[in-house]
Amino acid sequence: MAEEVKLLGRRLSPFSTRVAIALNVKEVSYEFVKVEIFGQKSEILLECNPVYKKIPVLIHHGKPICESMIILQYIDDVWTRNPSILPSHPYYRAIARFWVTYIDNNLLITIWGMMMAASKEAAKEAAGRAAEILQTLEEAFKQCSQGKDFFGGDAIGYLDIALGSFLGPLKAGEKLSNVEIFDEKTVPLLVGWAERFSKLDAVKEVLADAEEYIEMVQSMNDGVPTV
Amino acid sequence: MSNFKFLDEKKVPLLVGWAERFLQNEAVKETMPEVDECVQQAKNILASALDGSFAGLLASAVHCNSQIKDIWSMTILLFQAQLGKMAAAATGDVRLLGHRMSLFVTRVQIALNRKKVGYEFVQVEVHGQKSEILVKSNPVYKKIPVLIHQGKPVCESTIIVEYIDEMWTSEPHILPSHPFDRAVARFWATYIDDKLLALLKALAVEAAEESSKAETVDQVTEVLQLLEDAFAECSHGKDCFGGDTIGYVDIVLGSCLGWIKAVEEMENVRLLDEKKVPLLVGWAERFLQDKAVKEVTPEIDEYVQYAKMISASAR
Repeated sequence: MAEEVKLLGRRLSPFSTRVAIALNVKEVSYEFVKVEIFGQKSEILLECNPVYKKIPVLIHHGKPICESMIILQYIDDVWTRNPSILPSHPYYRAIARFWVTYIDNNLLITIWGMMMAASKEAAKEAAGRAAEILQTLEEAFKQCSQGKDFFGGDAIGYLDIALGSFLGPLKAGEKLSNVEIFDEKTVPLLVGWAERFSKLDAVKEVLADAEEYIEMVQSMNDGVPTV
Repeated sequence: MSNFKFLDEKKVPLLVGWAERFLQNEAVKETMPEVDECVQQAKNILASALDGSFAGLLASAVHCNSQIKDIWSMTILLFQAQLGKMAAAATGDVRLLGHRMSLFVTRVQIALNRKKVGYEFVQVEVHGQKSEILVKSNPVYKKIPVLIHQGKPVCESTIIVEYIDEMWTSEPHILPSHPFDRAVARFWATYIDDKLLALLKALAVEAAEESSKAETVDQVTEVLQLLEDAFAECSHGKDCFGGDTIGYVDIVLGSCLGWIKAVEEMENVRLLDEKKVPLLVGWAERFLQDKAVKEVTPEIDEYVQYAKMISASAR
C-alpha cells in the first residue's frame, strides 16, 4: 500500500537532509518537493507551516509535520520496523535528545559564522568556538558509541543523522574561513565516524558535499543564494 | 527446587514410566545435564539477571511450602515479585536538582507528581557560586533542572519530562499516544520555548524603555493568540491541551503561568485577557487548581519579589 509521503525541502538545507536520511533509513518512499524559501516562499510551504514558514515539512496522509527532529521522532513512531532511529532505553533516548539540542543550540550558529564571516577575525572566532564544541562532541561520541561505529551503536540513529547532516556545511566553513578544525589530530573519533556516515546508502545520495555549499555561498547576492 | 512433585505417579503414571525409560536411553543420557546442574544453572541465571535481593526472594518463595499451594500461585507470586522489583528499580533513588522559582524545575515536578513518583528535591545554588552537585551532574550547561535517577543525570526540562513519561509508563500518560498528536504536542512545546520565554524574561527582569516594553507585550499577545488556536486544535473540546488530562503542552505552558501573571501585575497589563484568549483563560484556571500543580507552583507575589531581586542584582 503506497502511502502518500511528501517532503518539502531543499537539497542544501541540512535540516531537510536530516529528514531525507531518516526516510531512507526506514526505506520509506517519498516525493521530494523542492520549495522556494528565499524571497517569495512557495505557497505550499506557507500553507503547511504557517507558524514558521520553514522547511523541512513532512506531509503524511495530507497532514503536515514540522521541525526536523520532531519529524524524525514521528518517522520512528510511525514506521516502527528496524532499524530504530531513537535508542530503545529511555535514558539513552534522553542522552541522544540532549546532544541534539546541544548541537542545534550551539554548533550550528558557529558553522554559519564560519561560512558567512565578513572578516578574518570573525571567521577565526567562529572557528574557535566550533572547535571547542567539536571537542565536547568527541567525548559524547565515546559515551554514546560504546566503541561501536556510530553514536547510535552499530547503526546510525537520531544523533548521527542530526550531526551528520551538517558535515557539508562544516567542511565548507573550514575552507571558506581557511581554518582546519575537523581533523584527525583533534577529533579522531568524529573524523572516522564522518567517513563511515557519508558512505552509507541511506546517506550518500542526499548528503550535499562541501563544494556544493561553497558554491552556494559564493553565489550569494545580498545574502540570497542564486544557485 | 520447589519441593513440588510434578511427575506424580498417582496423577500421571504413564508419563512417569515414560520419563524413566526416556532418561535411560543412551542418546539422551549423554546430553542431558544432571538435575543438580540444572538447579545450579537456574540459581546462577537468577543471581546475574536480577540482583541478589530478588534471587533471595525467589529462593525463599520456592522453599516456602506453606505459601505455595500449586504451580499457579507460585507463578503469580513470582510475577508479583518481578513487578515489585521493577517498580522498586524504577522509583528508587529519584532526585531533582532545582530551585523553587524556576519554571523549568516546576515542569519536572508537575510531571513527577502526575506520575506519583516520589523524589527528593535538592535545592541548589544557581546564581553566583554554583552547587558542586549541579556542576558535576550537568557539566555542559551547569543549569537546573537535573533529574538524577538511579545515579544517572538527565538534563533539559522537556527532555526530562519525556524521560519521565517513558520510564514510568503507567497512566496518566504525558505525551499523546498517536504519532501525529505527539508531533503536534512537541511542535507547540518547541514554539513556547522558542518564542514565549524570552519575551517573558524581557518583561520580568530586564530594564527597558516603556515603548520597547509595549512592543514586547504586543508580541506576547500575538503568541498567546496563536496558542489559543493551538488549544482549540489540541484539546478537541476538552479541558486540556492533552485532552481529558494534563499532557505535555499543558505542563510546558502551564509552568509559565506564574511568570505570566507576575508580569501582568508588574507591568499592569492583561496578557491572559478573557476577551482575546477565553479558552486559555479557562484552561489556566483549571490547570492551576490541579493537585499535581498547586503544591509546586509559587504564589504570584513570590515571582514578583524574585523578579525584583534578579533585576536588582543585574544592575
